[in-house]
Amino acid sequence: MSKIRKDTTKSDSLKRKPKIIEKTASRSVILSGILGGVFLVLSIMINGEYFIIFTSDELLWVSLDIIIKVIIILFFFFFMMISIGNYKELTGKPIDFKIILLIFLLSLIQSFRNSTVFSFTFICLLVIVVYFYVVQES
Amino acid sequence: MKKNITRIITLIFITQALLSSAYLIIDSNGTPIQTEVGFGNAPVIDGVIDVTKNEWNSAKKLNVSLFQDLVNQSDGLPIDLWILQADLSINFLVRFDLNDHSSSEYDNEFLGILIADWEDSLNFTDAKIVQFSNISESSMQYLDYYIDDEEYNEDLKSDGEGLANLEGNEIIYEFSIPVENTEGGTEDVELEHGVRFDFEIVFGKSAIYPDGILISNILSIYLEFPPGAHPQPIGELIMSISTIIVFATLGALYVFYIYRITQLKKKIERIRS
Repeated sequence: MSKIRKDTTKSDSLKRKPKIIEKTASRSVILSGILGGVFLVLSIMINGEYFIIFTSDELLWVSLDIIIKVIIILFFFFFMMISIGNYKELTGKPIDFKIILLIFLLSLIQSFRNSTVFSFTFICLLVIVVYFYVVQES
Repeated sequence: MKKNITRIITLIFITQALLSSAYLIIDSNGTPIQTEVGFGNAPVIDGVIDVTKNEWNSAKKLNVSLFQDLVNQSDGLPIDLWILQADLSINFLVRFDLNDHSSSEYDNEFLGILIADWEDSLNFTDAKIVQFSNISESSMQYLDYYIDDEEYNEDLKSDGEGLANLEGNEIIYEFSIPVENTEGGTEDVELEHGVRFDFEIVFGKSAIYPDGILISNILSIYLEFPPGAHPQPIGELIMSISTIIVFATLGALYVFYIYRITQLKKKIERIRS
């Protein structure tokens, strides 16, 4: 029998820590996934032009319409990146470039009906991806 | 490396800013008023609304203004603009009031409809004008011009018709422009169903074109197929099918991803237990 008493509290907390991280990641996968889904539904309605927000041809409303469409797609991309990133982490593999490219394309394709929305979305997605890359590098 | 990335991001932002400003400039050249048409029987072009025949009843009725400067729109002349599409013609009615309208000041008044070329927004190449030579005597003529680099040349063969009628201070201009007319030749813009065209309503007081044009406004009108004959244009059909395919695929992928999440959750719970 060992004469030195084991520090059970320390080993317990060490065991508990990954569990907590796992739980947080799992919750983030679900929550971000749901939010991604909400923005996908919004995108289907608005970017699919099944629902038209503004009918006015004034520059202000046209610009606002474009901004809303772009933002919805960007939010979809953002939440899906978080969700899939955490999902990959739970499976023990890091998110790779192929997955990022897939989410990028799936986001971009939502804007195919409107060339202006497409160009703005493309630029914004590119900026986000470059930003993620810089953050990862640093 | 980090410096290069910062440079790339800056470059992307500058490009985007330039693209956005170009987009804003294009739009500020006078955004056309987008409108649809009303359908009905072709009215009699005489400058009179025949209520007994329900003429113009089903027309699309708009209240727009004609402006001197389409970018900074202020102090415009309000007009009633009615648009009625018949089977083979698009008909316009323009009605407005002016003080002392029968005075000599308006002797050479004209109202014209300029039509932009196919797929060439705001490039107006065809003009249909009702030109007065003496408004108090109601002497006028309908003119059909083609516009070549800002120069107005009279068509060899005049297409369409137009007439005006002044009653008191109120004047009514009526125009009928043929649609699906293959005999218009190269001098006319061939209007076709299922296509969007830009029309510019112009008004002036002297018979010089384009210098005599004082005020105007631009409309973008989609010439629909007449009721009962609604073949959806192939481009629109492809777009609708593509939309369904794209978003259905996205939805399916999303459902598959949710399924994978639930599977992963179950797996984690199994490992834990």
